[in-house]
Amino acid sequence: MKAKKITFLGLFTAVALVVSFLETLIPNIVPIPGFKLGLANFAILLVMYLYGFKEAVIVDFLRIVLAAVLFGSLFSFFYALSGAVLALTIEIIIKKSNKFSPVGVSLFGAVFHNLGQFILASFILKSFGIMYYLPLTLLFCILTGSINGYLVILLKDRIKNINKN
Amino acid sequence: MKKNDFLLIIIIALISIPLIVLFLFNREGNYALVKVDGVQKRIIDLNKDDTIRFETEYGYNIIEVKDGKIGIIEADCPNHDCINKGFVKRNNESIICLPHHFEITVISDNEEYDAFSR
Repeated sequence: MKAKKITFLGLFTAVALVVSFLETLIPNIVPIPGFKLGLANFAILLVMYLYGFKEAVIVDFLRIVLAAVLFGSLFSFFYALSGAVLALTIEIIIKKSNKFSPVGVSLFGAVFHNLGQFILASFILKSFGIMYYLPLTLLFCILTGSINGYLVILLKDRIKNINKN
Repeated sequence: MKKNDFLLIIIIALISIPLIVLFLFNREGNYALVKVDGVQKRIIDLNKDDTIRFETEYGYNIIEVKDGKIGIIEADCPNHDCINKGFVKRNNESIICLPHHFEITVISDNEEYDAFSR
């Protein structure tokens, strides 16, 4: 890895981490346990578009580990991981298909991130009662997924230019 | 953005919005079911104001019943999502404290639930 690439990946990890932290400060607008806007995902998607899948997985994993150590818990680590594994998997598949713009990739990521967390929560509670809140969560995914995807569209070409110089 | 992106947004909206609207018509329930690890622990009557301390191996949650609504007012979980959820009263609405494997679900009728679960 070149020094420049390492620097940029470190920068994206820091951005994702700061956004994750800021999200813990704002009150939960959706009354669903563990619901987050997931705005850190734009940084992960940017890495995916600028560098590749492997790099995006590394940055996302670092973000989750650091977030859990700095302002989370072992519990929040596994909760975030369950969503991230599903989200990254679907994002990689959808991006490879070339049928969607970053907005579509981000929307799929948001939906599957929440599905992953709902499934884990159902396992922990041994009950499907939480699924009552799935439709509301999916609706919010449209908002958060679109914002993330649009940020990626806006930023990816500009950052690509910085990288070349 | 591509055409598929818009299609995807429409599909997500078409799945979620009708269900959300449907849930809005849920009637107010009379009882609440407390489950820990999926095991039914207690049925609470929502028509009697009460404060109940619930202690399990994972920690404690203090439940308050007031004006036909139920909520958690105090807990020693790390995230306090259960408290932030506020009070619920409609059928199938729930309050979840994931770190405590703890779930409260509003149900319409005590006996109806019994018949259903059998």
